[in-house]
Amino acid sequence: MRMLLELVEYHWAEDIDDVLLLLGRHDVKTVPLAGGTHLLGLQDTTIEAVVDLRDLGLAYVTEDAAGMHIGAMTTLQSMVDASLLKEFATGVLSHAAHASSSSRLIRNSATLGGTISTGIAAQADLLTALAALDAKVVVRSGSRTQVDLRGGTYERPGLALSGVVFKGKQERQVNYIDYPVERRANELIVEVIIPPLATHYGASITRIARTPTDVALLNAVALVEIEHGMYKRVRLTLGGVNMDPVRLYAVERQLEGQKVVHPINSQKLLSILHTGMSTFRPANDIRVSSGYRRVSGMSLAYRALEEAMNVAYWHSMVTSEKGL
Amino acid sequence: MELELRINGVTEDREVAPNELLLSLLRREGYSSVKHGCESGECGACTVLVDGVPRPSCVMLAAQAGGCSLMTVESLGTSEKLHPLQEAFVEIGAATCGFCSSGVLLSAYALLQQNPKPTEEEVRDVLSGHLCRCSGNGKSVQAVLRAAARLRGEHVLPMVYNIANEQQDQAGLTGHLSALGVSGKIRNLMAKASSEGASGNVTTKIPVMTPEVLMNTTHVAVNTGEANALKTSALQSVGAPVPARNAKQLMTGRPSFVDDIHLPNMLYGRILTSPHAHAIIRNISTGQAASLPGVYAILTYRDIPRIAYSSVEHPHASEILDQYCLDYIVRYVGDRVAVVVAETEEIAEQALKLIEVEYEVQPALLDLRQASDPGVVRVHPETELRGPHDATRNIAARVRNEVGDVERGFAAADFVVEGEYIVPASHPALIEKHMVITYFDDHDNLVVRTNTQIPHHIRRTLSHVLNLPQRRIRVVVPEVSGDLGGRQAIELEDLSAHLTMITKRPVKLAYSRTEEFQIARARQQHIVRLKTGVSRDGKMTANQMVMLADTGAYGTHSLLVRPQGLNALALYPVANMRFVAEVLYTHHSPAAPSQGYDLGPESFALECHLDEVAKRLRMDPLTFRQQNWLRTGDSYPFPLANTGKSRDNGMLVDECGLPECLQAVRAKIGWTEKHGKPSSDRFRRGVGIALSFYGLPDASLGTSGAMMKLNEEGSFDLFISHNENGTGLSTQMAQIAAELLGVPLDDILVHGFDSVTSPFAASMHDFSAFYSCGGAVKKVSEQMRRQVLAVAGRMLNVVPETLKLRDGSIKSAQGQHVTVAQVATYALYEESRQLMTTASWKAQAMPMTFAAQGAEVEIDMETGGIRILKAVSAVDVGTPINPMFVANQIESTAIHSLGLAISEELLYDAQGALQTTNFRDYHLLTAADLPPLETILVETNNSSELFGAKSTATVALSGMPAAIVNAVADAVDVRLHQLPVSAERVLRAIHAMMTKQSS
Repeated sequence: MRMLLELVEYHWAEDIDDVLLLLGRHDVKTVPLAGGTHLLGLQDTTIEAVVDLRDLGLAYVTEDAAGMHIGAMTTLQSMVDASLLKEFATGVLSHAAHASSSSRLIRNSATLGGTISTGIAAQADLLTALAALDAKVVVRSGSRTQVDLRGGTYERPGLALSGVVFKGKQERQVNYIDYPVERRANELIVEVIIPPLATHYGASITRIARTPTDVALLNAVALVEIEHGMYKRVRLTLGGVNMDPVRLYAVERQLEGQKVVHPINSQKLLSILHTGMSTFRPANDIRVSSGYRRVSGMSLAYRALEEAMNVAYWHSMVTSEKGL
Repeated sequence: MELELRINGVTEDREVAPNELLLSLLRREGYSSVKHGCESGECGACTVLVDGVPRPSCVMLAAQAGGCSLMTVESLGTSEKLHPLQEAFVEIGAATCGFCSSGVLLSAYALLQQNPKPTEEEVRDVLSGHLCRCSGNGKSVQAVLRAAARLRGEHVLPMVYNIANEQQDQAGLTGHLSALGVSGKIRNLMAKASSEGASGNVTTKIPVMTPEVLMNTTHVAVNTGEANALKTSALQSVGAPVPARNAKQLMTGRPSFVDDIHLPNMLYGRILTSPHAHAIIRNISTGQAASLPGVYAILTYRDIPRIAYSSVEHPHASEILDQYCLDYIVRYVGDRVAVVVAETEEIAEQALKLIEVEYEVQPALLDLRQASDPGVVRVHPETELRGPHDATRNIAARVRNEVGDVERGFAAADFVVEGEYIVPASHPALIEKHMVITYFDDHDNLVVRTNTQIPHHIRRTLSHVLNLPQRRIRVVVPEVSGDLGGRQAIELEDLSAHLTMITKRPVKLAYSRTEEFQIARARQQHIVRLKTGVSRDGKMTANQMVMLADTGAYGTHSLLVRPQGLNALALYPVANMRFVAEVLYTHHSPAAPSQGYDLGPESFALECHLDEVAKRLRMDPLTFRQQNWLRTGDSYPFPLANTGKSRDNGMLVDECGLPECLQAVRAKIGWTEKHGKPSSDRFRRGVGIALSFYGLPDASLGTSGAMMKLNEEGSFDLFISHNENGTGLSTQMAQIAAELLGVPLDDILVHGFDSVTSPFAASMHDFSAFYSCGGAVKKVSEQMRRQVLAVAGRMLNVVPETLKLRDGSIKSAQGQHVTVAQVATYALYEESRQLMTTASWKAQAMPMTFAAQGAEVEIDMETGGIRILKAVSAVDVGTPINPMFVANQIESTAIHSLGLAISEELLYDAQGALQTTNFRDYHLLTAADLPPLETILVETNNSSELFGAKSTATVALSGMPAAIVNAVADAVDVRLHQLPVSAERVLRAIHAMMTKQSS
């Protein structure tokens, strides 16, 4: 049984540069192979070669001053289990990774990079969370003047690189929300960086689905940061099955810079959402109409924001009490 | 490319193609435990451990496993020494059909390696990637928790199955509920023990029995009725929760299913399907495809005779011959256009792309309501058509049953309530896909190895379309993964047989998962209109059900099922009743029943409608039902569906356990405390209950046979007409035989279906098979017992009637004894006689099985989101042959019905193309989705010829969707008239209600 009928080459790369060389070939359509859960189900007869990324050392979750670094080959289940992510952003990423597939088996195989590459076809809550957390996708690319695949090198057995001149290696960071537009052919996602959160932050994820584990008809992720009694950074993103995550910029702008009020003024928040979501026009899906998404989106957005605001407020209160 | 793999501890080099899947590699290397269920990793049947991590091998290249350590179930345990996980699965019946079990076992194994004491939630999460239609996976969770307890060194007691008779205990329910073998009292105490730190991972859903738990448990008296006590006290095999006879085989992944054999020189077929819902093939060119190296044959409508046939069996109705192996008209998206057979599946797939078809696209009929409108397009305009009621109006069949004067009944009513209810198309979504292997054996007979439930019809039809005598066609049915109504039609057998006839080589033909959804029989849409007249005091004066049923492009099981549909009305007999059904052709895929010939659509409509009627009367809906329901001693209110004979003189309802079932569900769901108590919170809760029954008053459907022979060693070969499909039927047949023959269960060797050796049977769905097959087994066993005793009498020189046969030993009143083995030897060598016998059986009665089902739901008023908090099923089971199978069957059916209630729905686009073609879009409930479930077995006395047992197939499918809709109405005071209960439908209904209230 073979799903990629025209696949004739399988490469097991140990170096990102090798991957980029292979992806850059014009004569053989080559694609990166991460977990395979999406790619192998495509039955794409144009794919002639795959490059297995498993030994590139891209499966990790680390944190430094630049933020949370998640390797592109980190599986969704590893994200669910990673203790760093359980604590980071109120566990939103961990929850979103869990909700991104009803199947533990798929989560054991599917990777962060693969999910981003797949885009809305992944039907993953994770995409909404990445958009809300201002995730940056680190991609690498390169170009070469010549590739001769007949030979090989001692250092890289199994991959023929004789005569290759590699140049123009580039690495760039793309805001996740812009990635579907900004993505380029032959680029490889190597990492996702989530910028550090302010000390007083709150984050929340809510979703509606047919069953607890089913794909989300609609989901909402909110992030709220408080600084000096003001809402500093506010992010609100809605997503769901077969729709790209949508940042509700108008809502965010109305809230940012506002003084924190606790308890939350529900009417005011609803009013902001009402105004800010007037242009929210989600796509129809076979399971759910645009109209329903629009109406229930208001509710989800409210609940996500409300919780994020409350958590952010509690964080600010706790740290104050500790004199931090 | 060469690959180094470590499989089950052995490192080997293997040559693989770069695009070969790991699943393919493992299966061709003989690891038959790794099953092919889908092509997207979503069913979990192909799971293997890759470096200890469970992964689906169908979405993994073999090359990706290079350098990895792989583990399959073949290395987990053997039949002689099962792994504790396998033991637990066998012990509690989680090993149903076994197709999905290997994957589940591996995921569970990986979990326990990492976490010896998992919580129930963790187990559910780990099993979330495994779909199981036969068990619903509730039992798997229980099995993993049991095994975990065992592996931790804790002593886990055997399951105790207390079957209770509600009538004997008026005090309440807790003392005698037999939910999964555990009474309500035990359940409560177990929960207490858990909170106090007792071991065993106690769950309110599926408890693990440990000593600590039982130490806190008082003995629960099982108040069985006197008759049942007498009936069961002397029984040894019947009534025992013994594991499935093939459980070890299935749990160790040994080859069992159609796909588990590989024949030399086998070719592979693929079907070219129609992209249009309705089109005429004006031209079809196969030249380029035929020239592709490795292609052996291509068939189109031009290549085979145009012989009309029916893909389903119509034992009573006159057959509708409206289908052809290949035709020049395509009638739904997915209809057959051509079939290719080639050296490999991949070549066949490539060849499909080279076939050029010129379609003349025709208007398609996709709206059931318009099907019989004047001027609408005809689905079957062909002149060769035979059998439909009125093909010019797309009416495949019309059913009309009436008693009394319905119009007068409405006129006499104080209120007349009407409603329309819609049940959408859904799919059996069987995990083992349809597959057939055909080949010629050494005697030049055509062998058809297939996963079907209608082998006789296949043999008969193949003879017809191939022009081959039936004697030259042998149909073999190995283990089958579930039926759910999806194996009641010819799917691939005819095409595969044609290909073998042409190539003279073995041919394997299978659907892909997408094709399963597109082509394999689905339960199509039903629109049910109800009109009920009632008096102020709650007595029904007239009831009318009018139904439109979509049979899709071909007349299939709707023709059989719909005459049974009036049974749903019969649950509430009124002097004036009318049942009218029109079975209509459309350009959808052909229809199938769900499970047996289920009454799902009718019951859903009726049970929702009754709540609406009760609301109009301002009456408690359960009280209203109780005033009108069928009672013990009532006559069946309709003329027989198929014969028209009156049942006025017959007391068909000899025992109705509905009151006990209702009482049980009412208590467990907290009806009195919770119903009609609306809140004003964002999250609002409600409870709902629905009743159902299933029975076939026309018992003549159940003709069957059985054959038995005594072997020299004292064992009995038993040949029956029905194959195992995950319901435990063959084990229950063995229990019946063992009981009557007085031998250990292991002495009964039940043989799977092979048309060479198996007797004929008409009507092979699970419900009727239980009675017809069971009756034949009972009769043949009784005959064999007489033969054995006669020989023993001669051996001991006593009158046979004075002999007692028990535990394989025959004793005389004087204390002499011989064994059954000695009898066999004596008969063979002294009397020169083989003890063997046959029996034909026509079931005289198929007792009606009654059920009550209830649900508690929570609705989010802001989004319409629904959460099922609890689901309870109580079924009047008579006296179960095997309480474990019965409980499992009810639970799995209830899980299926929960899916139908909230998520399962086939969705088409405007051109009639199916959009839900994979398990992600057609979401089956996973272990992580399941709400707390309770299954209550209510024992009643009845005249069932099978030790008082009732068939429990199907019945639990009917009530739950209505119970959920009724619960939604209780929670938020809106009535849904359409399944599934989606958040959008609920929210729209809430908004409509609010708008109405404000205006």
